Amino acid sequence: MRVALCDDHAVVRSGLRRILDAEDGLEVVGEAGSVKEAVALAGTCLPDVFVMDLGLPDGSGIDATAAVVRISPATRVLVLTGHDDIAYLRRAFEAGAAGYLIKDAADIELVQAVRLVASGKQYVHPALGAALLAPDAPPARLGGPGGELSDRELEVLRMMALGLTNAEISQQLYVSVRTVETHRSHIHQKLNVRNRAELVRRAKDAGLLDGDDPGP
Amino acid sequence: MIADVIHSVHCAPCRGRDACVLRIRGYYYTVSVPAPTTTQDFEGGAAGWPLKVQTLLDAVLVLAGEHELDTVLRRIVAGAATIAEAKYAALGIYDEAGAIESFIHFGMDDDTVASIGSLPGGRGLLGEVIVASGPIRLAELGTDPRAGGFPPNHPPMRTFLGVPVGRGARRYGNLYVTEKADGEPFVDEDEALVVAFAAFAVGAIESAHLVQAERARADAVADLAAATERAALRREMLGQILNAQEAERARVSRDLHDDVGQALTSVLLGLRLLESSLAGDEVAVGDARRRTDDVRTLVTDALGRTRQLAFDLRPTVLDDVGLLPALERLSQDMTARSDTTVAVAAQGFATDRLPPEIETVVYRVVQEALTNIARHASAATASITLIVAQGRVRVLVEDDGVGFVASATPRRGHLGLTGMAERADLVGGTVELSSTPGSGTTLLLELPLA
Repeated sequence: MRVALCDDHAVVRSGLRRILDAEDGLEVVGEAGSVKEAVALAGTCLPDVFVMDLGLPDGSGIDATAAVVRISPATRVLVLTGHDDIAYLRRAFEAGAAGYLIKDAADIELVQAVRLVASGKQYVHPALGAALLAPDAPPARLGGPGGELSDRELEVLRMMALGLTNAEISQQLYVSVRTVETHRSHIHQKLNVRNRAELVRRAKDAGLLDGDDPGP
Repeated sequence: MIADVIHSVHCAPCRGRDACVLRIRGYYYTVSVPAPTTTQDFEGGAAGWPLKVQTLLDAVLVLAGEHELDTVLRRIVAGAATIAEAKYAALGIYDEAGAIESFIHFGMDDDTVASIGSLPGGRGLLGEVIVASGPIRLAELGTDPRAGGFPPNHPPMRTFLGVPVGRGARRYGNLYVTEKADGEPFVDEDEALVVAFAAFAVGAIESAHLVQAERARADAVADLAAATERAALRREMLGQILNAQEAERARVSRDLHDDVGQALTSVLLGLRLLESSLAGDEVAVGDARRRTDDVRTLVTDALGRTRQLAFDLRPTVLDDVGLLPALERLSQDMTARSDTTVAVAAQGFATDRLPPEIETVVYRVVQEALTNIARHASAATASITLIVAQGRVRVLVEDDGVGFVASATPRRGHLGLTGMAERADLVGGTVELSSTPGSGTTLLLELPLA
């Protein structure tokens, strides 16, 4: 199995190379230190697996990943990075990466991850995998255990989703702030949400705000 | 300046006396003088003017050229003494309550003034002139029942003439002259001239007041302009400092990530290699493995802390990916590190990214708000909602904690509201914090996007 490396730190590259070379059936066929070098290397070597850092001097490893996959579609890119944000992970997979590994675990999990992606599977670092599966999307239907929302409650819900404060809602509806608070607490109970952010997500999932949201 | 002098005009209010009408700077002043019934009433002055009228006009001219209130008042007193041929003259300026505000005198040397001590307080005859509707003229000051007596060391004064200084209902004070030079009492002629002079004095005082007010207004305008300029400068400097700070944080954060992080990663890889090269004595190898495991734990911990430090300084995800992922990460961190569960939602975003300066302000304000919630709110949940609508972004950070009394201003200062408001102001936005005890806190940040 032919592996290429891209990392702008030579010490890290040599450490990775020695670990991978020590494994049976693995061979490091080239090293790159920048986006440009990585793309060139992919074009000439057509490696089976490309181990890719994200922070590179001339750009992002995410761009490099997209370019590598375009030039050499058979190459599986394994991102190896210090970033543990889900946002980077999503981007990397959108760009065509097959695996995402955090450097804390490089020494233990690298070989396993390289073998996994080479075999056609995807690899995500366990800690990030758990975050990906975090239940942030409750069932997309309005009307929870507490029953259906009234017309007035729907009106208040829409105003809350537009970011209006209790005082502003009370002015628009000609009711007291206290009444708005009561509506809010009923909405929370009926939809089983605890605050505005949860409410907005819930309302968006239910398509209730489609007319208000121009994108993305 | 006297533009026109119209004299010998019959003046109805003076009832039969002739009057001189003078127009000075657009104002007409009527100077009534006793009608010269016989030629010997007046000694003839230059150009046929009665000498005393000449003196009056001289005093008026001297007065008209002056705008400084203090000088005007001193010239009024000196002029009155000259016109009435009096040894002493004084001007009492009264405040609205009728108390003497300032007392300007003429004819007494400094030693005498010092030996008398305090200036008159407005009792006795001096005060009577305030309430009197017209002039008071006395031949023997001491015998008048209204006289309050002189303080010790006061020079003797017998003859007295007091004239109100004012226009309509507005009374500025009174003009007094005492001790006519020839020892005789003041006569009708003296009274008429001093009354006329007092009328000019009103114009001069009002003019000086106007000049003073105009000067104060100009000063205030200049002060305001300077303050505005200072505020603009301060705002500009604050913006530069905050920008420089953010740039520096971003740089340090990236360095921590890239350099320190890579170095630690190298150590981890080295450990792995060390382990694979271990061979020989089973006991020695087992011991070495335990040691490398300990080192690995330490390094992994250091890597995690480096990453957290970099994130706290300025998350690279904010620059690389955008505001929402950065806020999501922030809320995940707080959920993991505190007892408060934080949720984020966005609405109305047409694109992933907002202008960088807006993203920074929103991120920092939300960060500060979450810090406050973690410290003070004892909240079960907190919510961050971003809404883009009608050319502005509206951010609400709400919690369901203990809240506070909104009027407790020291607490508000304590909550870093000033810093948040300053950041918001730099991009034309506002911050509002509202709360009621028991029902949480709402922070509303609004920024224009245009």
